[in-house]
Formats: sequence, structure tokens, C-alpha cells
Amino acid sequence: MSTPLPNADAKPAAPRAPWLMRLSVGLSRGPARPFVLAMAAAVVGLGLAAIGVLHPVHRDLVRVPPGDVALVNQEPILMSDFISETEQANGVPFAQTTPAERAAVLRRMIDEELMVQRALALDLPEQDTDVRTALSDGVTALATAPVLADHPSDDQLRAFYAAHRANYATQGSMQVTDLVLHIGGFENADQSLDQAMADAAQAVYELRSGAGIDFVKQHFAFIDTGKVNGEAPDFAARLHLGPKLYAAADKLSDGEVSEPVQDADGVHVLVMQHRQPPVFTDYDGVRNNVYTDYVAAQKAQAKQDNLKFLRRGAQILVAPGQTE
Amino acid sequence: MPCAIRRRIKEPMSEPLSAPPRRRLWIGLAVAAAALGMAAAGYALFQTHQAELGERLLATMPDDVDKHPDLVRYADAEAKPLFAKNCSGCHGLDLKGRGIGAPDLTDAIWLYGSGVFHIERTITYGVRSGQKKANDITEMPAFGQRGQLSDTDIRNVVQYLLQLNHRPYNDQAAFLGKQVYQTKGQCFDCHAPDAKGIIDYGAPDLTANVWDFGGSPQNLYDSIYYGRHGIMPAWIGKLTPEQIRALAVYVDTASKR
Repeated sequence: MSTPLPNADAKPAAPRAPWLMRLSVGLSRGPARPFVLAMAAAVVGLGLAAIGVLHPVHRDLVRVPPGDVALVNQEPILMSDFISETEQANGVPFAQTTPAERAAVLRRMIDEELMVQRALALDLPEQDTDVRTALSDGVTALATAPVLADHPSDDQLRAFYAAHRANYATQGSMQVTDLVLHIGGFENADQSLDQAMADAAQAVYELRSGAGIDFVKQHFAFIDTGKVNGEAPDFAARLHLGPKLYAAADKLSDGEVSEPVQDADGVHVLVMQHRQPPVFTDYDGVRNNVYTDYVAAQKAQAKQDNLKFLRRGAQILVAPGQTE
Repeated sequence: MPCAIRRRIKEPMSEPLSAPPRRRLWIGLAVAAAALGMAAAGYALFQTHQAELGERLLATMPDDVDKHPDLVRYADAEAKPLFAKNCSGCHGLDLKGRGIGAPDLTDAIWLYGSGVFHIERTITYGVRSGQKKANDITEMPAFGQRGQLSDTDIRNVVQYLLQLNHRPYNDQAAFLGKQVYQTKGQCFDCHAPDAKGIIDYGAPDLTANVWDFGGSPQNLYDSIYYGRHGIMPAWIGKLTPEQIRALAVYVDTASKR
């Protein structure tokens, strides 16, 4: 085995020119010259385009963006708000305010922004009831504003009045005796419901025939509940009697006796001692109130609609055993 | 000669004609790419210029913008499609309002102050929009529905308004209407004793014969009877500050034409 000798006739390989030189030669006289120049132009153009598209506006937050008067922890304060507050604080157009007056307003606005940021950092919207109320009211104001643009028609106001007539009446009052025959677990629990109803019907008959309350109490073992002591305004009577008994009492005039009324605690008989019924004001007498109440009701409805909308998009989990 | 011509055509004359098809394809692509690049560069330069104008528009004090024609031109161009999309529903494409309470923006009569600054404030925070910074000092009460003025009172006030605007009116009714205006109705409180309005309240000039809700006697009656509660939404958060400024300039310019 012998190692082949290098070819003595072979010329040594010429050293390759540097790539930059080859490129410049190619650009100056090579056949690819138009191609290379065109590609270079394209690259430059696309580069400029990329810069223009990706950085159309300087977002350099170490300087105040145009349209703002200050930047507080990257939060801008609008120049428009600054002008407005300066004018309000000094009572003259902005151009007529002094640098000192402007500086005072700006300092106050920056202070306020700092405090707001601190409030957020302290999570006050979650902790402070006043902050929560203010936020909630703010949202409600935004949600209800559009519904107030349309004025109500007269028919709408009259319908609202009819549906809420009790709100436009003077407060009535009543002095009423409430007698009861307890059944099932109370003092005279040996009475069945049927027996109590029959006794109550008989007592009603006796009372309407002129018998006294004491006689009926003794004879049928009624108990005076004393729920309404003396002359009570209607709202108090409603509170003490409950809706079912109040509804029965509301129909009675002076000296009248109700039919037996079965309620949760037994069978009741109501004897009206004195009744001052509420006086209803006609529509024309309360138009202003009706209008105000109608608008308030519209706002309340808009608030409810907004809450319904918010609930639709919310994830709400309630602990086991709890209801809302 | 014909032979010479034929021979000459066959000879290589220049690089492009003699270049192989593959190379010509590359050259074509390169030229196209160069054109694309130059177009992109032009677009980038245009965008940069627009961005600079946008910055200048915002950096200039609102009421000084009209001293810079290039900014006004830029704002108009920016705002026109924005107005068509967001504002024309109420104010109309011609900015003249549509008789539904949205005012004519070309008549140079402003409820909340004129000039770019005040217009910009109104666009930003709206009118009775629920925003705390909105124009929301007062509203036109429903004098009839609330029972504060009688039907006759209102009709008399309407005649007085017609008189103020040099329109046909009933002399005696207008006289009585003026009494109502100055006393019982307390109209002077918001609209001023001379009925020229008070901008601080957004109460319109009743002598200019410009009516957002219509100027017929019946329209005027309805305005007093039912009251008015015009609203305009706040655009802060929906449009950028630059867009709002551009719209304010656009509207201000339109009102001065």
C-alpha cells in the first residue's frame, strides 16, 4: 500500500475573496445586480413599514402623552379635566388663570389621583361601605340615565296613580278588638277547628245582635289578643294584625263585626270600635308626586334590569345550605 | 438588408433579452418586491406623519386648534367616518339634527358653550348620561303633567314665545304668558328674564327661534307640558381622546361654515 502522492501539476486553490467584496463585485457588475438591488430596496422598504406600523405613536411613558396634563404612576390626568377644574375653581376662563392658580389645581388633582390609587391598592372597594355605595350608585346612574329620556304619557301616569292609589292618601287609623279562639297547641287547645269556627260564627251572631264583648269572651272562651291598643294608625295596625286580619279589619266601619277569620293561631273575630278611613287624594291633587314617583319607579326598574343583565353574565356560587 | 436585419435580431443585444426565462422571472419578482417595499415605505411614512398630526392635535390646546389648518384638515378627515358611525344616528349625516331632540350642530348655537373645548367636554362626558362630569345641572320640568301650570297658562306662555321670536301671536295671550313666565312659571329662573337662556344651566335662548324639539306651537306646548330630558351618551372609554378631539374640531368647524 502506498499513499498516493499529490498531483504535482495541480494548481493551488485560489483563496476565496471575502463575502463583502464578492457582494460589492456582484452589485457593481454581476448578472444578479438588478435582482440584488431590488431585493435590498424591498428589505429597506419593508423594514421602514414595520417600524411605522409597529410604532405609529411613541408610547414612551416617561413623558406625558399629548392630551394629558400629568401622569401619576402611569395613570393619565386629562388636560380637558384640568382645564375644566381650573375654570370652575377660579371662575374665569382657563386663559385668564395665573400659573399659580393652575399649579394649585394640578397639585390637588395629582393628590386626588394618588389617593384613589392608594384606595385601590388598599382594596377599599371591597372593604369600605361608603366606597362600595358610591361605586354602586355610579353604576346605577349610568344604567338608569337612558330610560329617563322619554317623558311619560298622561295615560301612563294615571295608570301608575291607579296602581299606587294608597300612596296618595292620608293615613287612616283604627281602634279594633281582636278576639281569638286558639286551636292546636294553644291555651284552649282542646277546640277543634270546626268547633272553633262554629263557636266564632255564633259569637259573631251574638255580637251583631247587641251582646257585649265581655259576654262573648266569657261564654265562648275568646281571648282578647290586645294586638291593637287604642287608636292605631293604619300602618301600625297592619303591622300588628298581619295582612289577613288587617284586610278584614280594613273593611269594617264603626261598631261592625267581622266574619270569623282563620289565621295561623286560631279563629279570629274583629270588632271595630272606631275607624278613621284614609282619605284618597284625586289625581289632579297629587300630579307632582305621581310624576316624581313614576320616574323613581322607572329608575328602580332600570336598576333591576341592569342587575338581571349582570347576573346573566356572572358566575355566582352560594355556599351549601344558603339561599339568596 | 433583410438578411442583415434577421441576423441582427438573432444576435444577443442586451442582457434582459438574452437572459434565460428563469432569470427573467427572478428579476420580475425582484422588481415587484421592490415596488411593494417602496409602497410599504410610503405607507409607513404616511402613517408616521398621521401619527404625528394626531399627537399634535392632542397636544394643542383645544381652542387653539383652529389656528393650525393642517390639524383642522387632519381632524376633519379623521372625524368624518367616526361621526357617520357614532353620531349621525341622532344628529344626521348633515349634522343638522333630526328633530328628535338632537340639536342642529351647524347653527352655532350651543347649550353648553361653544368652541372645541366645550364641545369636547360634551362628547367626552355626555349630557345627562349618568356620568358625574356630564352636563346635568337641570332639565326642563313637566309643568303640565306635574300640575304646576294649567293648560291655559301653558298656551299663554306659548304665545309669549311666539312674540319673542317675531312670529304671529295673540296679543292678549302673549301678555298673560309673559306674566306666567316672570312669576308663576318661574321660567326666568333658568331661561333668564330676557329669555336669552343661561349656558351654565344648559337652558336655551328662547329668542333665537331655534328649537331642538320642534318649534311649532304644539311642539312648544308639549315641551312645557311634558318637559324635556334630552340625553347624550358619554363617549369616554368608547372613543380615544384623539378621536374625541377630532370630532370636537369637526363639529366646531361645521358650526362656523
